Amino acid sequence: MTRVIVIDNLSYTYPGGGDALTAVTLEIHQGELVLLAGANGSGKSTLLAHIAGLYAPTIGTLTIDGTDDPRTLARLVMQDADLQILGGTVGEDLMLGREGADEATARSTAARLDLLAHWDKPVQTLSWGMKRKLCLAAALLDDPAVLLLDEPFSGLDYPSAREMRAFLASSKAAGMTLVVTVHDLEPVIDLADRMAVLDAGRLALFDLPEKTLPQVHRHGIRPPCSWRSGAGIGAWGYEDLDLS
Amino acid sequence: MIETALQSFDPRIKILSGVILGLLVWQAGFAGLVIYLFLLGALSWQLRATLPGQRHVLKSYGWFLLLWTGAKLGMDIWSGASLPVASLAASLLAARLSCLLAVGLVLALSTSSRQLGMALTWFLRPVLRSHAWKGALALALMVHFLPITWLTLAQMRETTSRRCSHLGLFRRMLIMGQAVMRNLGQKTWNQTLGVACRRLDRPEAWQPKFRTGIGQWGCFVMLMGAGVALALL
Repeated sequence: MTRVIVIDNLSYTYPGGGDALTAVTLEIHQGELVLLAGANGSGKSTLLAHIAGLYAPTIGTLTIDGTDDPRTLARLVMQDADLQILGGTVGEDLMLGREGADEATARSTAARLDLLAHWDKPVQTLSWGMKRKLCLAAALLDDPAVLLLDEPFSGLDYPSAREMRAFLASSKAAGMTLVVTVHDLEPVIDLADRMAVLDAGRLALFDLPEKTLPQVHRHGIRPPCSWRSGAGIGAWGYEDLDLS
Repeated sequence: MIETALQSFDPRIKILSGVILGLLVWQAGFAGLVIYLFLLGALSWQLRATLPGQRHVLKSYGWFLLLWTGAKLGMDIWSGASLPVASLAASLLAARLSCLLAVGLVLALSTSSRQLGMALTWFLRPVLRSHAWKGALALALMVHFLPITWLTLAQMRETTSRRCSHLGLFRRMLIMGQAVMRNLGQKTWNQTLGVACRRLDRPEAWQPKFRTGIGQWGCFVMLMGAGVALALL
């Protein structure tokens, strides 16, 4: 398998002092969906920001597709949608920094995420879930090799969470490399290829989900219900279950 | 329809119109000001759907007007003017400030922060040359940040009134100020990361490209002509 993200002995210390990440080493392959799990303050978002090229490691190296400038290849979608949307309308936001580019591509991406009907809508009138989708659409338009999602399920209602799952599944099927941070494994564990667990800035576990799940509770993470009830890794939505 | 037409107008023309109207408002008499206010009020009403936190914004405008009108009235009376003369001068100031606020409101409601930034880049390009895009990014971020600041202020005000009701006003204000600064500091940092994530921190992302028909410039000349006529009333 082709290695896309290679992190070697990465440590990061905040400018004001305090270690955020310590000696993290991991490799992520092309087309994988990797979950980055951990309790609050474990360093998930900081590691994601490193992969996005927003922070530079204090020690160690990080490369994406062989380059040490990840910003050209990786695209991060942060938790707070309001701080990432700068356009006045959905259309204007999607065309940000793309003046002269093909608007049809932006419209088709908007259509993929059910945003096309809202193209001329002022962004402040969108719901939380819609704003998150707008951020996703803007990220997809950059055609990134690696898509990084920081807590994509937080604050989403059930239908929006299902849409997010469908998006992750289709992106994975299309061969995109995805790194997704979560503190609750429930809505996404069945989609993951591998799972990394961070604990106090250190990489505690990194393996297949079925191999990491027996140990996650030691690192402040609740295993999914299906796992605790002995049913293995189960589908999340009740529509996916056989209730007959 | 008016809303769509205004929003699709070239932002450079809107900014120019705003500046010229601002100057005219300062020269206009009562009759002209009343008509300005009526027209600008009607436009703001058409655009009200895009106003975030309507009540808070209008309330703060009201307080701003009251403060300056009261100050003008007080200063004039203190310097020896009679009450009717001072009231007239204060009313004139109130009318002018209302018009200026309405001009700003129409501009803000019909133009996105992005468009404002691009127009500013265009205006600043002869002076700042290759650095003009930084001004555009700064303005876009500032305008974008205003509603977030309003919301944070409102939330902090509510929190301090609930949690610190036993404290005096001065102490509460101090706590609120610190909390607002802390919150906004965090948001500013996150927004910086947001801009970097989207790769909007490079000149190519802020190249202004405007397509303005002759019709829009024609409208501009007619409107400014009407504005001058009203100022002379």
